Amino acid sequence: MLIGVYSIYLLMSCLLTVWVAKTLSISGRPFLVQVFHRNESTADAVNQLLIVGFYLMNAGFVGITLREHLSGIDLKTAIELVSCKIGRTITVLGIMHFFNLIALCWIRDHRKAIPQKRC
Amino acid sequence: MTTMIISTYAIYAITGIGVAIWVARKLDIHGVTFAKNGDRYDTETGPAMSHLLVVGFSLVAFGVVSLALGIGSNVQTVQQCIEALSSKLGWVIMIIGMLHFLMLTVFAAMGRKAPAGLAPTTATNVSAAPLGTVAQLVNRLHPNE
Repeated sequence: MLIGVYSIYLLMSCLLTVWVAKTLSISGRPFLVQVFHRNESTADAVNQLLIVGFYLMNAGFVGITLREHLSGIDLKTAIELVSCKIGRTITVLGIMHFFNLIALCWIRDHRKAIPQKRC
Repeated sequence: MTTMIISTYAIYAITGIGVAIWVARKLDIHGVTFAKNGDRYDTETGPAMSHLLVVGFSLVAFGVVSLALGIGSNVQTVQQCIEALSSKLGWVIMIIGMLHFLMLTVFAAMGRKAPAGLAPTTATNVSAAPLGTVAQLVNRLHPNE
């Protein structure tokens, strides 16, 4: 039963990570282009690097939280375990995503202030 | 007993995820309007930023729904099923409501005008920012050219 829990957790985490990474890279590109003053090559490079970081962080988190010290669990416990694990992963992903957005907004506002001061 | 608990979880999951998707869709549709009011985002980045915020909201909302699934006590009768469901769903829907108000605050901040020190971020302005500064300088030094 625990093997089943692990497989479902890994499968769902992989699917979720890929889906969220694709959505973020597509929607985030115009925003990154704006952050880097229409410099599209830098924006694309940063986009790719952010995706790699996102994959690494998520893979690491899933790996760390995979193990359960339980044996002989029933169906109810199995469902609760999978749900709790996936919920924790998604919440951490969401909070990390908001921190990313805040950081990018900060970079954009501070980069924008430089040409204004020079003129 | 197992059938009852699994049906309770199924009803909970369907309702919780349904509410989360409904709120996320509403935010996605109406959030873009806020970005248009301010001058921080242009026509391209406004919808993108709004969509990114909605993705974050959806992740946290689905996470909360999924985290709160476990029911401590055993559910054996229909009465216990209804009680457990209403208590769980009540908490989850209230948290989603709070997240929704938090998102409204963020969208309202998006719609504000940029501070005086920051230039508006329209496409032409941003692309011309470094060159525009040099051009203005050249104009000031050599007004006849």
